[in-house]
Amino acid sequence: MNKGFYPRLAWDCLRKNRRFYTPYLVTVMGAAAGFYMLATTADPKGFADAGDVRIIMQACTVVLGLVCAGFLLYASGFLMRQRGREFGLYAVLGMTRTNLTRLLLWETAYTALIGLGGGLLLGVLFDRLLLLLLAWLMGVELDGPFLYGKCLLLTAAAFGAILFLIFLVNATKVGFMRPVDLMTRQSAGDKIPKARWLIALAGLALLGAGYAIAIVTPARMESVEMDIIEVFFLAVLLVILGTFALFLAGTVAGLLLLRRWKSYYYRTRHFIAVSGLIHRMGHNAAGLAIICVLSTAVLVMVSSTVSLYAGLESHVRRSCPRDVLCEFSSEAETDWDALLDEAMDDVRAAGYHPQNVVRYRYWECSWIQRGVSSGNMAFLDAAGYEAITGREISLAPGQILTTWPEDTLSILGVELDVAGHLELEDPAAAYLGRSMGLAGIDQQYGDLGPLGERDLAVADADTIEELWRAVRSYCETDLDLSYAYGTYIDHLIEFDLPAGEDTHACRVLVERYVVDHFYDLETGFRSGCRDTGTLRAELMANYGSLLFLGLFLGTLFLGGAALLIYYKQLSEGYEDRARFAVLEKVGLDNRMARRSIRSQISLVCFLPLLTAFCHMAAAFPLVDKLLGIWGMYDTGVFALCSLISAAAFAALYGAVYALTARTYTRIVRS
Amino acid sequence: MALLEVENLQKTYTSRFGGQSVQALAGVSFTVEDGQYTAVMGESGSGKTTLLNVLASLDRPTAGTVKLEGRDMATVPEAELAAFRRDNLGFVFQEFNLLDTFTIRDNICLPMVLAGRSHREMGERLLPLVRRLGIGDILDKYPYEVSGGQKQRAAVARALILSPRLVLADEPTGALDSRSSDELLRIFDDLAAAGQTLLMVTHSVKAASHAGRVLFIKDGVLFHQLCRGADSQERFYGRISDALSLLAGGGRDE
Repeated sequence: MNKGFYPRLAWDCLRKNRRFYTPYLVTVMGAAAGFYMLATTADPKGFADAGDVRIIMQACTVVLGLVCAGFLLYASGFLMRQRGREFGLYAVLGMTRTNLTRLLLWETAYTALIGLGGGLLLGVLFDRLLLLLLAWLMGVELDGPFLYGKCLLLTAAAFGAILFLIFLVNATKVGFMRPVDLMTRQSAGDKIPKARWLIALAGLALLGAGYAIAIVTPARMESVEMDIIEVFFLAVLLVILGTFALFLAGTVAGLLLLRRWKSYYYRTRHFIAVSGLIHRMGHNAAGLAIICVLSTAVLVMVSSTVSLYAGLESHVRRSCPRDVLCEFSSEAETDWDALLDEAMDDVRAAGYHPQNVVRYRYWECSWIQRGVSSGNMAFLDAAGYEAITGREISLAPGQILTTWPEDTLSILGVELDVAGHLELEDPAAAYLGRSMGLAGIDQQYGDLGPLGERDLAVADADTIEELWRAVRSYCETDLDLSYAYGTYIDHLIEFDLPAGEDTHACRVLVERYVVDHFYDLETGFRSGCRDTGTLRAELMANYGSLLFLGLFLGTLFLGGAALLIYYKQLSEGYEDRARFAVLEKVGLDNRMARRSIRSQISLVCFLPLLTAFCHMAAAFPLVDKLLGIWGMYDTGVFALCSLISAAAFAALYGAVYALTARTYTRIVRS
Repeated sequence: MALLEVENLQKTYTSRFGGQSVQALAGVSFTVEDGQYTAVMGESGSGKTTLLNVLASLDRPTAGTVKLEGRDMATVPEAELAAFRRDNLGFVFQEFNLLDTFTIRDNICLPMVLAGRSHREMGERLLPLVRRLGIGDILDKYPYEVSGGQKQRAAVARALILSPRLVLADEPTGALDSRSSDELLRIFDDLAAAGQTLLMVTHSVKAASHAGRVLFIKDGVLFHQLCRGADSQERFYGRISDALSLLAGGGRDE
């Protein structure tokens, strides 16, 4: 045979099937470009100092590669199904398995050349732009090369392997087919599915379990924060499995039930719709389930990462109500007022202009009196309360305002009179709540870590002094309880800086001044300092990269879903053309036939979207708690971000649907 | 009054860009009486499928009229055509045209569902009909699960379920083996004997010989017609064959 025969035939095949192949090639291109770009974000030459971020990006690159492989396999399977008749014809015309394999090999070569080559080109072209976006979101400077050779090689190798795998699968499929089978495959695929009740019920159970986990999981798990993430992935797995089972078996089973309901089924509208849907579900279930899972992934990723980013400032302000916060405690006798004054003088001398300076202290007590009482309480004196809230307060000796839920409180023999209850919304409680880990806060704000629950009490200074001494002496006498006590006084200073002054440098100045003072004293000195500048930069790097990932993967997944929808419309268009003609002859009028088929198509298209919204709603409580781990407690912001993401996604999805529906209409009418 | 009156029917197809036009029907006139079993014969391209499409109101004629029970089909508004077709006409196609998404039962009931009849009435009409056609045991199967002959009998049942005035059949035996063809023709005989008006377009002399009357179409005009009268089927078969040879011979002379 002529040497150039296969290359030419393969090229012709691609051109003849361009209605199917163009989107496939575009997908290969997009996937390769996306993979390359994601790989460059993980390249050490780019964001050299973003250690955690790089690990996340690397993991996501691997996951993306796997998802692309699965997706392209599915898409090429679809292509091969459409081309069954064509291959059958070649076989009938005398092409052997070897010939067909060579044809497929050439087609793969072209796909690699156009798809992979184009993808790498696109990737290189847009990589800089994408990295700039990432750097902007993370609030860092971008350096690094224009071209990442290692990533190019990695992408070429990964997608070369994927395309070769697809070739092997297709060659095997074609090789095992008899020509007659290939010719008749399209009509043989038209079987009506049977109801698989067991799978349907299993799907319902899996989905229910996933939903239940997502909804009832408490914010405070038995141990540390990793567990809630594990629970989240367990729920995700259950919901994915449940979705597949429900789409594969549940929808058909439900529709078959509807069909048994005779007085419903034998009505003009339901009759055509129900039977048509049974047919469609049998064919499209897997594709629909994939669309649904992809859509859910996009929705959850985008809404959560956007709200993390949107909630960044409030997170910063919650951890650090003023620009700089320094917290010290020491066993040594110290004149704290003088020391902190000196520190502030030092700060002013260095050219900073601290404003809104607030100073206060609180007394930490934890005690256990066997069989009588135990507790963990932080006391604030009236002056401290006023400093924080700006409210004056006067308490008689022995009176307290507290988050403690009962009306009386006895600590180691000191009777206290609860004059009023502090709600968590109280400015003082809210202000201190996060840093001190107040009891009750966890229900609202998620896990607090090993510090556990504490109560806050406001009392006058003398009462606090008395109480504190009592706890101290008790702890010193009862030595076997020593592990359970803690008494110390925390001295805090907080202040704002005018815009433009470096909070980090200023904070270091204060911290170092105080630390230097205690340098040669053996005192059990503790300090904890933070500032908004450092915190914001850290959070931006983390949340910015997460947001980037959410948007980037979201876009890729949406593209994937769009391709699936397009293929679906295309194949259904060809199927419906014949059905449409018959219905018309039997006496269904034109308009109604078109409308009924059209409504089925839109139902099939929007079912995954609606299910995805359901999943998203069910995941909301759990994701909300998960976000709490990363310091995002504002459920309102998350809800708003979720709604906006859902609306934007629905709009994009609708646009994809409308565009592809035109293809469908063109086919049916021709 | 005749059940079907066709008068000077013409149909000209013009290609989309107004270039060539082809005259598929060039003035066909005939009538079909109530209860008559008529076959229309002609070679491929003679215009018989066009004739059937026009009679079925699937296509509008260029000129001429088709009257069913005295009502001119051209006066039926486009929007009511589907309902008109459903109520008055039954169709049997060469390729059966059953829908794969429906069981045999639902395929047969399709016209009734479209007409908005209750499902109780469907049962009442369906059972005697399928018993008569011998397909009572495959009602819950899908079209791809049954034989060609069974599919065609299901299609006949679908055509008959609403008791149409006229049944139109387009090459009904074209896709069947000889045994199934015989069965189908016997069914048509029974229907005709019971007074059902039938009009069948066919290539097959054997099929045509079952009819009471055969119309021959050539190049868009009615060329000849034969009536069976008191002839046996074998004898009628011979006469049709002779007429076809004559038709072909005439073609050679022109």
